[in-house]
Amino acid sequence: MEVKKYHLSSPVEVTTTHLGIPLEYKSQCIEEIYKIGDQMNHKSNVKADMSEWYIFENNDVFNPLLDNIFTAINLFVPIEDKKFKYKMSNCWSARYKKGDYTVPHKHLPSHLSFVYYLKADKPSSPIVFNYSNFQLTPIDDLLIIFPSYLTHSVPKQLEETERICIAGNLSIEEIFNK
Amino acid sequence: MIITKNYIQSFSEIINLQLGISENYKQECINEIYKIGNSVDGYTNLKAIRSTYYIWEETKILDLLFKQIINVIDELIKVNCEIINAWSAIYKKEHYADKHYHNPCFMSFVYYLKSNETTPLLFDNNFKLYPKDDTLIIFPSYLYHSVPNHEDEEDRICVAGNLDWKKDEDKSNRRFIR
Repeated sequence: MEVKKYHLSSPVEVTTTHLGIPLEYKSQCIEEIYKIGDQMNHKSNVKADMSEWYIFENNDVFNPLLDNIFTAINLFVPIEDKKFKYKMSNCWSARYKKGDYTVPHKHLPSHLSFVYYLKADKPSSPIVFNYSNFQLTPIDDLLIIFPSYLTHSVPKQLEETERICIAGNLSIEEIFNK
Repeated sequence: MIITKNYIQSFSEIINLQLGISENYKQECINEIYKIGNSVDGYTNLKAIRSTYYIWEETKILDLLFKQIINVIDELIKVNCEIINAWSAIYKKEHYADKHYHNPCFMSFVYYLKSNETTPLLFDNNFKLYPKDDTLIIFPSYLYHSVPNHEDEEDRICVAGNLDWKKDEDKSNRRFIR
């Protein structure tokens, strides 16, 4: 069977905003992430201290932040087809120390992915969209929303600076009208 | 709140192959598609003669074809997929399909039972594929595509559909509840 593969370059949207989360609450979240520490032993694509995949299951501290992120995503990247709605399918914390990094990966079969930086001291490693010649440098309170099919990575954190984030995925589910 | 939309380029793979379906079975499928005719009401992107989104509820004749398609996709994409919807389309002269995409699905396909390479499947950046009989085209569902006016007197007959990853029920139910 002859199989032809074509590689098409097409435009895609990466959205950024600042959420304006109060410092006091951000500090509370950061403290909780320190407490959680590394639950994955660097076995995922994230070679940094990482929580398990469902941080909201055993911890209520992040709920106001996740609410805020969810609202922002619905506002700035709305679903055109009103038959569907987003659901946040998973969410985790990551704390990068010197030498930590994330290997190139994508988040299929999710629809949208996000990362919110609670703390990103200068200099902090960027998030790199590997096949798109594009990267973003994190700063405190930055939310980045991107399609889950985009391959991305984080190069090695070169300095003893803090880079702490919450990341997650959204899938789409059909709204069944009764 | 400042929102920044960054438009970057993403590289997507489109796969094109000849499926090798026998002439007899293809003809049987074509006859069945003519029998079904236009069984969908209301607006769709296709300005052609179309079945419902769940053609397997209208006929069992195409089941073997879908089985063949999913086998090939499993082999090529290396992901455990299932067809979540599929429909037939008969393009007569002057029929066309508006630009659209198939989010939130994972992959989409179109198989041409009858097509004489005159009317293309058109993607972003004016990338075109001119299908002939027995061509299977597989592409990520987020890619916009369309069909220009079919100018030929001979009908252009295809079945198209969407695939999703087989869901892990346990994980898909774990989510941030709002």
